[in-house]
Amino acid sequence: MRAHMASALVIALLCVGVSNCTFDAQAVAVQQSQVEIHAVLDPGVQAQAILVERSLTGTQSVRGRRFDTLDPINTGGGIPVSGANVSITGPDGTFQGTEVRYTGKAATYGAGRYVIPLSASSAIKPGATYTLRVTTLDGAAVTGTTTVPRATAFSPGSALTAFNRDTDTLRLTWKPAQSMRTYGISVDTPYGGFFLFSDTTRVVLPGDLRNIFAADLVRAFIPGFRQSVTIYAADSNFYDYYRTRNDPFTGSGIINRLTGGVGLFGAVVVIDGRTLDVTQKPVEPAFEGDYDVLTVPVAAKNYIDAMHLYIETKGEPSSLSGWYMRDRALGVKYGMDGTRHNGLITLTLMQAQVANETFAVFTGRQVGDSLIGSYNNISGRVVLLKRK
Amino acid sequence: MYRRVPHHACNLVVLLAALTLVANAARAQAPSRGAIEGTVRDSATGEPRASVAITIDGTRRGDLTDSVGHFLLSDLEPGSYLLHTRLISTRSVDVRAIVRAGVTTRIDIHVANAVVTLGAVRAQARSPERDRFELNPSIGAISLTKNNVSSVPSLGEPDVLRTVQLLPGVNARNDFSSGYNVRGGESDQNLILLDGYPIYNPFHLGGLFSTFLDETVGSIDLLTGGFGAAYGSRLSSVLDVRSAEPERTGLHGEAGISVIASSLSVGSMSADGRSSWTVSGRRTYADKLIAAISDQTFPYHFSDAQFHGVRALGKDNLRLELSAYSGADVLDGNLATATNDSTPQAAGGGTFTFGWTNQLIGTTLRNVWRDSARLPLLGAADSVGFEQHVSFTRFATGLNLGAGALTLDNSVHEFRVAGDVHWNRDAHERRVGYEASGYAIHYDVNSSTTQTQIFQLQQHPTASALYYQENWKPTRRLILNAGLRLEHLTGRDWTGLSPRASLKYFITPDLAMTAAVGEYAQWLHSLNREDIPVRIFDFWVASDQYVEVSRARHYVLGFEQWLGPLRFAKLEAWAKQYNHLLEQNTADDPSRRGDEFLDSNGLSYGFDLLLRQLDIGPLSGWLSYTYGVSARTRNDVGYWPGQDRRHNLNIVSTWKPGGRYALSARFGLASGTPYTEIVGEIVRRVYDPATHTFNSGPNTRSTEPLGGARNANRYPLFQRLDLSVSRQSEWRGVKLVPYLSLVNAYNAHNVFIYTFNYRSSPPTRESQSQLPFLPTIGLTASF
Repeated sequence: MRAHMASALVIALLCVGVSNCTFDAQAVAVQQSQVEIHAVLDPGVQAQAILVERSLTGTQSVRGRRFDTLDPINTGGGIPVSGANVSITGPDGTFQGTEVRYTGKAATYGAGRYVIPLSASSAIKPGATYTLRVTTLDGAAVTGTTTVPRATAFSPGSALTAFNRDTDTLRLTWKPAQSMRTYGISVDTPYGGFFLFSDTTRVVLPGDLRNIFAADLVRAFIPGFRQSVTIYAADSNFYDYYRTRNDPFTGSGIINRLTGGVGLFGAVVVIDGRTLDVTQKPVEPAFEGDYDVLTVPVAAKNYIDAMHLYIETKGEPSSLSGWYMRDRALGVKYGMDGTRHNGLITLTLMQAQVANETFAVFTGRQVGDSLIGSYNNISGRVVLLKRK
Repeated sequence: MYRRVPHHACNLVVLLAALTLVANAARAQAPSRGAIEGTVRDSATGEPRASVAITIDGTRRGDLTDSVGHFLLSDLEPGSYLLHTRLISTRSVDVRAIVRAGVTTRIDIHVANAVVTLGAVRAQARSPERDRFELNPSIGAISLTKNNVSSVPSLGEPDVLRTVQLLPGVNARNDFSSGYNVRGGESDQNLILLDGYPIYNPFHLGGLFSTFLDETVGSIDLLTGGFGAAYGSRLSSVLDVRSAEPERTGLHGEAGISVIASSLSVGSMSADGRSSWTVSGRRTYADKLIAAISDQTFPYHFSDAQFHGVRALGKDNLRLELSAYSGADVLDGNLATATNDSTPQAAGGGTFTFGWTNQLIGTTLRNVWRDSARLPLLGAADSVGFEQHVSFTRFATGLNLGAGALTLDNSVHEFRVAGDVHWNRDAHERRVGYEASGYAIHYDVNSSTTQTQIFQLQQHPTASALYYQENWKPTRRLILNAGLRLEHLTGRDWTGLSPRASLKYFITPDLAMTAAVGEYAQWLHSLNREDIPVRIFDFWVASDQYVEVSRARHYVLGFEQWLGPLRFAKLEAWAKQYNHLLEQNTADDPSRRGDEFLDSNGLSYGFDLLLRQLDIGPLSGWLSYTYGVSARTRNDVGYWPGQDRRHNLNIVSTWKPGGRYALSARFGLASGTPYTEIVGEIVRRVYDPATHTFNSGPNTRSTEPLGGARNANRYPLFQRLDLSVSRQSEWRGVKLVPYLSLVNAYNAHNVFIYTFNYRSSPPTRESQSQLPFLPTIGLTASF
């Protein structure tokens, strides 16, 4: 960290500043690619996933698509490496990874994602050392070693912790782990995760915490969302990989502990965590609160059935957030955000609780105690009535 | 009740007392010779006239009046002397004076302005450069004046460091940085002084401008290598910027406005000529302007404020000087309000502040006794002087993201006392002095809202030095200069001895050969990397038990040829060996001390050429060319550092055809500096321990460049032509000088960096430009 953080900010500003002064765009030669690995051993799961891909060298164009956790490389802007021999060796022997294929999907679906299913007896053991070995079809070999932190794995369960971000502060302490490098604290937010490393066994997360990893330094806790807070012990590979980055001038900086490739083979053990049901005090009760659908086109009857709306930040425009249910009988809540600008209300309904995965967009205005408008992908009038 | 004075403070008091005693003892004389002392004044206004040459007819003795018109001719046999005055644009005056043993004859001389027809005048007054040529080895020494700075075409407004970048041996990395590298050294190896006091990071706007106010500059001295024992703490160069001192009574000053900033400088000299002061200020106004004419915000400004005052004390030459400077860069805003209304945000943004400040205050007491001086133990001297400096310098950087979600603070404070006693006797000039600097370095990275400390460093080292330096002219053709500097640094408990020597041999009265060798040490190090082509500011860390003291050895061999009274050529070949050069370790662990730097050794060599026409007369300027090679080695692996520019040519010229117009041009041509080619990109995938998946949300995957062999490639040739024109006129007693500058007049496409895209096929490379063609205008008004 230290100067790196400030330097990164300055470099980013500078890059933006000079981006309008470009000239002499030209094609350059395709370079030799490297094998890139992302693998984090975690005793909390039995199926360990290992992502194998190639560094981007211009051999083919890549683009990001709607992210799919089962096809993370293709949908995550990478070039998967298929057909590799992937194994991890630990105290219980050597286990082979399998590139999972799915029927009914494209042949390349899931490419580069290797899964090593482990039984209860051969599960990843805290305190044990594991070696990863990846051999690709063209003969490239990548190896790495990690030692799993010695700590008791924690399973947060499904219980919710009410968290009013105006008044609450989350104070977490945990027991020290062994054979680890540091503790990680991560908060899932709709605008990208907030995380930090700490060598101490306590952390304070106030309700007004800003997410320095998200655009515009938005707040980490967003009302209407269910956000998980996770505490984990990490090994030095994990810590070093995520605390460093390559700068744009020299293309160096990442601490890479793999041999024959780049990336990460690390280990974490989740030692504490909870899921917060984030709320806040209403700032405009006439507008904020619960709404039920009153009128909706038939094709959109599974859009908003009920919702709760917050003014996340009051102003002009005001930022909005909240949750919605597609079917109140099922009780499943999804996230939404939006704006109110000159009376025009825009609500972005998320697929789940992630801001860049949009399900539909509602646009309308407040009329009395109702919101009247329409969805972006289905024509027809939508009326949402504020619950008394 | 009393407070115990620290031991080192007692030592300091004793040293100060000793120096005062020495100085007072120097006054207790038993003279057999006499002196002539006086003041030269304007016959019309009575104001003192500076730079008037006073010579004794029939001899080679003489003096030049100082800023208050004072001159002194000491060590004269009793008798009658005819004094002769010389100054361009004044009538010469002959005055007879009688000298008696043990008596200083005091006379006032009045000179009148003369109408001079330029074509018939041949300037005979010696320039400071010529004085330096004749009196000192002057290795690697270059002087500039305010006029030099003002006449160089500039981006927005005249800039001291931008001008210094055009001198031989000095390498500017690119258009965006006013930092500089000297003779292959790293950019943190330059000691920058304001009126003799150290100042850290004198830059604004990410290095685009320096903090020195053009209006306040009196003189600039750059020492590019082989400098004497009086200077320490840096490996490569010394830049001493001296404040101008008003030479007129009454309130007067200069106001300036440019596309960047507005500035004002006012000052005055007392009627008796014994005191003067100057106050100056500058501020950018884009933030105010945009706020006034629109509902947008521009969250950045910088400002400077400077004071310089001089007061003569008593009847001797005792002078008290005070300098103060304060500057700040502030980048702050609220991302909730800074966003354009047409793109409302789904969540309210947070605040950020990013700023750096520079403060300096220093005072100097100096005196010179030039008649019948005597030193205890050492006997009689032709003149004796002493100087005492006390200064406090502070540089601080602060970053605060999201109201305490991440804060970074770095500051370096230096409290420095320094002084010397110098005396001349026969052909010897001797100087003994000391320096003591107490540093407080603070480095703190934390997340206060989460109560998480990320990194913390507190250092309080003290650096002390004693030095002796002697300039000896054993023959008419030879000048020898030798010195020894003993330095000690607490914290690392390091002691070093740095011998330095130089010589000058006059092959003819206008041609001299010079040579120098010296050792240098540096214990303050910047965490910046030379491979990063911009130098926003430095994060300073001192040598301690983990961090070595860097050392360098200079070798210089040169020739200086004068081609007339106003023109000279200087050629110097140089080599520098480095030990323990420290470079930021980008993989350092914030929770561990001692891994902040990587240690390397290095070698730089090359030569500088300077052809200079001094700025007296219609045509002035210089041509500088530097050939240099720099290499570094770490763990037996060699590489070219980012500042390794092989060829660097700069031509600066100013033509003042009729006195009203000034036409200036600067042409730069330089070979490219090394860079690391990006050979691919990797996708960084963030692991989410809550879901046990990668890339489960926004900002969890991004590509990062992958570098090839370090600095194995070089950017293409750099070239730039800047032009400027100014016109001088007068309106109601106010001198108005509007100017137009054309930066990069023919819009040469100079590469700043390359950006690569390996996400497409075929992969592409784009050049990011340095400054394009930029016309700027400004106006200065002097009153």
